[in-house]
Amino acid sequence: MRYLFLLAYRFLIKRKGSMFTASAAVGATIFLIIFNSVVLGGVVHGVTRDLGDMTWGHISIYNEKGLLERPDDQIIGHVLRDPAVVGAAPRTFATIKANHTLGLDSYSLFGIRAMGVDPIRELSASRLHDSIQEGEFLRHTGSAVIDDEVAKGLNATVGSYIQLKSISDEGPRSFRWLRVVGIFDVPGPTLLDETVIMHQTDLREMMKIKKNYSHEIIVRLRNTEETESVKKWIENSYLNDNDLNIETVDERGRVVITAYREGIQFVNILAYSGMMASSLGVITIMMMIVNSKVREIGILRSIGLTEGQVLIVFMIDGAILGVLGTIFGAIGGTLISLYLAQNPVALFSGLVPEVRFTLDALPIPMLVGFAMSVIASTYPAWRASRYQPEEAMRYV
Amino acid sequence: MSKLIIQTRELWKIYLGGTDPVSALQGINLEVREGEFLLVRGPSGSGKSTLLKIMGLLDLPSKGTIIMDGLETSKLRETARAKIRNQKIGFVFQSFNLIPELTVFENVMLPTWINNRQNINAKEETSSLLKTVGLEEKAHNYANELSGGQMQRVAIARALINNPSIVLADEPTGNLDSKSSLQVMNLIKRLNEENGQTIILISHDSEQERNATRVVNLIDGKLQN
Ligand SMILES: Nc1ncnc2c1ncn2[C@@H]1O[C@H](COP(=O)(O)OP(=O)(O)OP(=O)(O)O)[C@@H](O)[C@H]1O
Ligand SMILES: [Mg+2]
Repeated sequence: MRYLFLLAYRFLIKRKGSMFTASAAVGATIFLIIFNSVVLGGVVHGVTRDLGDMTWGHISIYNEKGLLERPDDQIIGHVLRDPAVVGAAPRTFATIKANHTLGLDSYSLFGIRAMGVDPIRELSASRLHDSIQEGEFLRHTGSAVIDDEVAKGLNATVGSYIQLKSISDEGPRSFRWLRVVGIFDVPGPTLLDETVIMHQTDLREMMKIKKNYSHEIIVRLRNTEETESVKKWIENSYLNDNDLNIETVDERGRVVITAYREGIQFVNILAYSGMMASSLGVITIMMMIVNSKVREIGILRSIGLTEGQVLIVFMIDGAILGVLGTIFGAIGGTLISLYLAQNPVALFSGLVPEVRFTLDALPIPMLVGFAMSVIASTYPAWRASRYQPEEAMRYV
Repeated sequence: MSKLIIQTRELWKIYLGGTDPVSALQGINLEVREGEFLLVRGPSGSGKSTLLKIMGLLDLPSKGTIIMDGLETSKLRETARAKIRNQKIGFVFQSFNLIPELTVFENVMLPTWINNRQNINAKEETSSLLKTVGLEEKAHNYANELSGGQMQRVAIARALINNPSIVLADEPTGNLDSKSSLQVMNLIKRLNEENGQTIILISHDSEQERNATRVVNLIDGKLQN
């Protein structure tokens, strides 16, 4: 059996060009698949991280039907008792109209979202303050932090006074003048585009919401690995509160995250179909090798090699190409993943994928690539085994 | 009289494929006994190579049978035929059929690997055969680094490594100069004289008549005596 390896190896090694071309073709797809799964996996982690940091906290406590039925302080005070929780903050929402007058021109935006926050609690419960591009984060009542798209729409800058109005209510206290103290810019999928952040007191007064009640409490954890256990604990604390929805960011962001996941699966399918192309490369090059070895195959058959053994020789060649390609692809994929994990790059929407390289990204693409190479070589190997011994003498 | 080693009965070979079918062999009945040195002669295209290929189980006849050592070979499966080629027959062709990717040593040893015999010291036998053909210094060169005469001597060493009972040689000196030809022919003669190996040789060279124990003429696919 060992001499079959020797023959296979020598047949290949004497044609280094073909050998490297074929294994590069295999390696390229393996590389692409690893790259995809790691980088696109990083996109999902990045989206989840941003949604947790900005939008819903690691755990979100809310009431689908409207305001929470318990005062915020009570819920916040309770969840903060768990040492895994580093912060919790209330958020209240409204749909509003915003106006800004500059000289003789006035600008308005209709149907944008206002988010009322507690500026102090927000500091420990989210990373919204890190998204400030200009100015500073909210500190007092009477001020607002606006998203850069809102700033563009209103032609407002830091220092501008904008007027916010409730859409539903036309009463005397239903509007507010707020001074813009900061402009923020969040990455694409955080759903905070077109948002005005204001003090919760201002929002409650404008919307006539009773003091101490909010739509949502976001909870930030020391370590996201504890999410499930903290969620369980909170659930157990409020067993009788049917109105409370307690969801992790994965659950709350299910729609967004699933959309990304599906996109990634689609791209992965494309990458795996790229294997078809590289298997064609393997078939072509193996056929070239087989066709250039007809005489040798005849000689081998004439000294007693069987059809099956000829088949094995060329299958081994396919396997060698597979192993080489797999090694190239895995090394390439690992290097790029490690590089991206160390040097995060922002994508088009401002999203920074959170690339985490783990060795689990390797085995499946490697196995599939290797198997593909072996399968692709079955046809050329079969053709090789069909040459008859008398052909040894025909090719002089 | 020594025993029959190869016997052909009504052997026909008809090549289809071209515009007209060619009847390269037309009912050959030939008996070769152990230890014979048979010289096959005949004009070009008379079917000599075809006969040798079929007797060496490299190709199948269109009709007729070959009995080898009493074994009717036409019913054998391809793996069994491969085993006979490996163990009982040594081939030497006009175009020194070596594997260029293997060294001289590996080329000679290759049939023992295929044979997978446990009880012979293949390496020692390879070395001693290479010494016999005078190429022990070239053992670790690749086959394509040799001259034609050297390659043919390697091919002979390879043909002998499994100690076959029959050596089939198709114009082994056809591509060699006269000095190399002489070396190769002397080697073949020695096989027959010293080892008692059966030789079937195709040659145009009238010199070979002196070495042969019997001569047959093939004309238009038929044997003439
Ligand atoms: N594979 C093949 N396909 C078709 N015809 C063939 C094939 N091999 C040989 N022939 C034909 O069969 C006949 C006998 O050929 P063969 O090679 O046996 O002759 P030969 O006696 O060895 O000739 P030479 O002395 O020139 O080597 C020729 O007419 C040849 O053209
Ligand atoms: Mg011939």
